[in-house]
Amino acid sequence: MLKFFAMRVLTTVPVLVLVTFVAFGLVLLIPGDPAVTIAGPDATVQQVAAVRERLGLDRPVVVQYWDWVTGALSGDLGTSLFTSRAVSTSIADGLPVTIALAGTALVISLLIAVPTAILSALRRGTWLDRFATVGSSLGIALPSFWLGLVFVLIFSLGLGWLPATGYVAIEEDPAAWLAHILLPALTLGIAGAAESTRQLRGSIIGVLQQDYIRTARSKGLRSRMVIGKHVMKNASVPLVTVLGLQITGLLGGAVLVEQIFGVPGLGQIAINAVTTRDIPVIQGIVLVAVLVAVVCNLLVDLAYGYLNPKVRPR
Amino acid sequence: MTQTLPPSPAPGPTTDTDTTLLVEDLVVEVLTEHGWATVVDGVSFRVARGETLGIVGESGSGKSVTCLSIAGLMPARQTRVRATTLRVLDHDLTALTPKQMDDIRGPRIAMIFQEPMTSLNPAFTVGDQIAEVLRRHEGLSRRAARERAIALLDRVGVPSPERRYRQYPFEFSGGMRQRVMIAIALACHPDVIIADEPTTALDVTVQAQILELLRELQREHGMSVIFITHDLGVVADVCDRVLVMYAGQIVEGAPITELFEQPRHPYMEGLLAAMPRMDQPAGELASIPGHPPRVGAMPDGCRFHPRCRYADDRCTGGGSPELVQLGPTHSTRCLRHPELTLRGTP
Repeated sequence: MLKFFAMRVLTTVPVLVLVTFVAFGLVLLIPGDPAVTIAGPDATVQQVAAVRERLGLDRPVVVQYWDWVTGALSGDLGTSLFTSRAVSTSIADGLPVTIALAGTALVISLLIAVPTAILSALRRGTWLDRFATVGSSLGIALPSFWLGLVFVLIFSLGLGWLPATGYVAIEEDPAAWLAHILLPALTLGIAGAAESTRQLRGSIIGVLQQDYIRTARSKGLRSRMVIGKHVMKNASVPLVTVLGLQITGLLGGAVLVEQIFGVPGLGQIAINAVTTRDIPVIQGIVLVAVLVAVVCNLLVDLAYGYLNPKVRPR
Repeated sequence: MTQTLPPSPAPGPTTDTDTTLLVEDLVVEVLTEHGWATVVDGVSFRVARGETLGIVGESGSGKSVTCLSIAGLMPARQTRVRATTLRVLDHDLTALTPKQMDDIRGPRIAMIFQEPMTSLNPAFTVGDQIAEVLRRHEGLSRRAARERAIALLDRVGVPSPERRYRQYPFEFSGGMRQRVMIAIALACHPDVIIADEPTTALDVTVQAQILELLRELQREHGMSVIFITHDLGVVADVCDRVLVMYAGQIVEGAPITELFEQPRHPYMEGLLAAMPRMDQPAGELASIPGHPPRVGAMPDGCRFHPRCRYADDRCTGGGSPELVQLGPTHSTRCLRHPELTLRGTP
């Protein structure tokens, strides 16, 4: 298992190198000269040249790339062109919020999906199963911005149970954190829950027909043992695949949901950076987002290794 | 070991200690597209301690369904099982809840299935799958269960059991997996082992080894074995007594030598004639014409008559003939048995 882990970690290195190319290449791809943008519309040629020199944009691209990468490795992602804050500081503020949001959304979606899928697979064809199937179709079809607004209308404005906007860090006040994150996380997680339910229901039904489940029953194992152990470990493989894809989707979805609920996460920082062409910030966020995605995929692969012994190298 | 079992009901009129399994008038219906269809129709038999009972018949004759129903392993929502008596030792299975049946499977009735390649869970080690039976029924600790499981692997002839304990099913050959299945079945010293075509999927040489192992273990533990198969060669090899099933009914039952030498039902005669033999020239292999009837479309009268070379007017009408007792141990469902002399094998 250790060897498998080490191998898998090593294979991510080329991916990461490629990502630094792309993230850095953004400067070259974005139309216009950042120095001109920063210096302002009325700047003289000398002023633009001064800005360019200050930002190091007059040096060869390779040198710029090298500086950026070595900086990034030591945690220095440059400085925002507009706020003059260190990019790493902005990201350090926003990233935990976004991760908390996406993580909670994932937990909520699993809390909905796993019991629903098990029940509807075991009671296939009953009203409960049909209800779950219709529910998951709705969950996939409904757009999150609409769902978010409906939740705000019902739970915040109507019932007054939960705050409509804002965010409190978990270390400040866990109860307030939960109250603030519940609606955004539910909004973000519900599509994933629907998709996971569908996928898991299908795979449970498939596994239930396997010979080894009959063997497990023939041993006199209790039903919850047969389902919880023998069925779930095998049925989880497709679920993990879906989750791996969902995690990247959650990061993208978080941008939208953060806007709706006024959550100060990475999404808001990203939107501001893009509208102002704050290139160092964009580069930093792209890099961090990809890092998160790579780590999640790594976890997915490790989960495969756990769930399916055939995947492990020997 | 028996403390987890439900209290036995009041002893019936006769609970002779020699009978491990008693089945009377077992009827199994399954849900098909056209509604409920009877796939096992009034099957009755008993199995004595230490006896090996063979159940033979073509696929679809109801032999597997009979055994899965006894063990309570048919899918509950698509199956209806009825029986006058269904008794393992003095446990009345008809009176048990599904949870109480969980306590019967393992220490009372254990099963070995046909497909060793798919009958073990690919996601758990072989050792874990043996140990969990012991942990479940005998409440053993992880360590104690492990030791017992390794001893079992050793007993069923898996080499280097300690290493094999930690391996996964895909690292085992078919024959070795079937040995593991036997170890699982044997783990809690069951009174009855139901072996559903345990050697069908194996190579002939491996087949012989597995049969030998089963025979040895049966002698050692004095278990009853129900051996389901369509292979008459295997039947002749291991069984004391045989039931022949056709279209959901028992059509003949007899001790092995008697059945082979003097079959009393034309279906059995046909099966014997279809068996390849060393002392016959090749190419003379007979087969029974036609196909078994489909579930839900049983012919009137004797269910075998459309394929029977001896059938006459009496066989084609009325209800299905009764199983007639010909002696203490031989029975047949053939109406014409008094006048027919059927060919057996010497």
